[in-house]
Amino acid sequence: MLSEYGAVLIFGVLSIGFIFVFLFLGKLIRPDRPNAQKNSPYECGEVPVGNAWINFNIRYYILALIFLLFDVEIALILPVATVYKEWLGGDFGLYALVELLLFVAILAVALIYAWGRGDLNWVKGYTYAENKSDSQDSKS
Amino acid sequence: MNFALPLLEKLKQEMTSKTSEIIQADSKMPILKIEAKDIREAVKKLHDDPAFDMKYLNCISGLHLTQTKEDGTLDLLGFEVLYVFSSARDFSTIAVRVDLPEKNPAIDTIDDLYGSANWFEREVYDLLGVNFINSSDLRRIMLPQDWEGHPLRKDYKEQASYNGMPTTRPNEMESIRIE
Amino acid sequence: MSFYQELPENILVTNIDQLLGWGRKHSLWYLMFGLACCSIELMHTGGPRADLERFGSAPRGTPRQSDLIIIAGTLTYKMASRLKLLYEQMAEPRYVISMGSCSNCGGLFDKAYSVVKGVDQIIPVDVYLPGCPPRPEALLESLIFLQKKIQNEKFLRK
Repeated sequence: MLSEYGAVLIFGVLSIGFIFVFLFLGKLIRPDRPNAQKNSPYECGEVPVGNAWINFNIRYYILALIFLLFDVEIALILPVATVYKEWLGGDFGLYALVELLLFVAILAVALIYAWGRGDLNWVKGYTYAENKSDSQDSKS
Repeated sequence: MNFALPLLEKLKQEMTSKTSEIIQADSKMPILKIEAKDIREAVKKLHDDPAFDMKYLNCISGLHLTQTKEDGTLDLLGFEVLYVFSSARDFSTIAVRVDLPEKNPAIDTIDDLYGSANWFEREVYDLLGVNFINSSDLRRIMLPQDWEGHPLRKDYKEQASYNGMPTTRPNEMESIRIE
Repeated sequence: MSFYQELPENILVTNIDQLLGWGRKHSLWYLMFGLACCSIELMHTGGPRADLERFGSAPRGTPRQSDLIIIAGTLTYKMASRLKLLYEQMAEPRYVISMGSCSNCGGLFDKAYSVVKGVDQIIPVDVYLPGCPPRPEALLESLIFLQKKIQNEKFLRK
């Protein structure tokens, strides 16, 4: 039994070592000539102005969170048939169905809440400045 | 059927100064030639008056007027700036022409009346050097910002190099020419 | 018979320079730098009829991932500083193909005030490809020419 663990150990060491050896060979062979322009951030040839770290929009996070909830729900729905095997074989199949539908209904209430709150909207609306009118083309 | 000529005559009568004249009267685009100081008045009339309804500025183009003398040298006669307006009501097109002197050509800007005038004026400034007074944003539009000179003038001489790049290239075929 | 001729047929011997050259020449990823009409021909060369990607040359949009830049089109003075910065941002080993007359010598616009008279006033060029525009087969020929140059390069001895 120890020899099987030994095989796993050798496998792990070889696979990690494989990566490091080839990266190291690359470092030996490749030319390395950094200069200030080469290290500057890429902006299609323009000289970059300002910081490259910007805040990303919060709606990506909210959508990902809601997706995660319903993804876990799907993952929990899938094994229902095998878990309730004895009920489905007998006369209690309807109980399993009603339980499943109850589970989905509770999460559907959560979906309706998020929907009604406007969390699923991608476009959140604009605010116009009050003294700007876009139907005239002359300032008098 | 030229819809525009009566409009142009109406404009000529409404101008306060009487030094304007109509040229190219029988073409599709009759031109009213006015002085440089009257340009804002004329354009304001064209823009605001519902009889004209010239809401569309087609383009502003510039020209360097010269004359070639008999001995081949050029006589520089000044600049001409042409404003072309159209109306969407009956597709009539009229033009307003202004002649500017050779030294320090300057004219009032119209980019508060027509927003698109800004880019046209920047182009005329960039290539011909005509200064547009009170313009909101007058800088070069096509050439790099640190370019010297205005290339479309007839007496433009190219600089020898720009930022280290020479502006001429020796013809390599000359070096292998057999005399 | 020499030693190499006595080996069985499924054994190859070579030297490391040739091996590295073979590997490098068959995966030249190029930075698309299409400026004018020659860029249409560059796009056609990437198309199905004369396929540039069968030589291993995938088009990239960033200089960080490319080792070849194909300058296709007329370079103006305003664009020249950007080209210089892009060339500097490519990692060595890097190669340049100057495609078309305008990037070779200014071409048709040789007397114009705003055109750089040849891209080699700014960056070093490996292959000049004449044409206005060069046909896709000509661009493939220039790539094969560059591949021959890379195969014979002594890469490890720099």
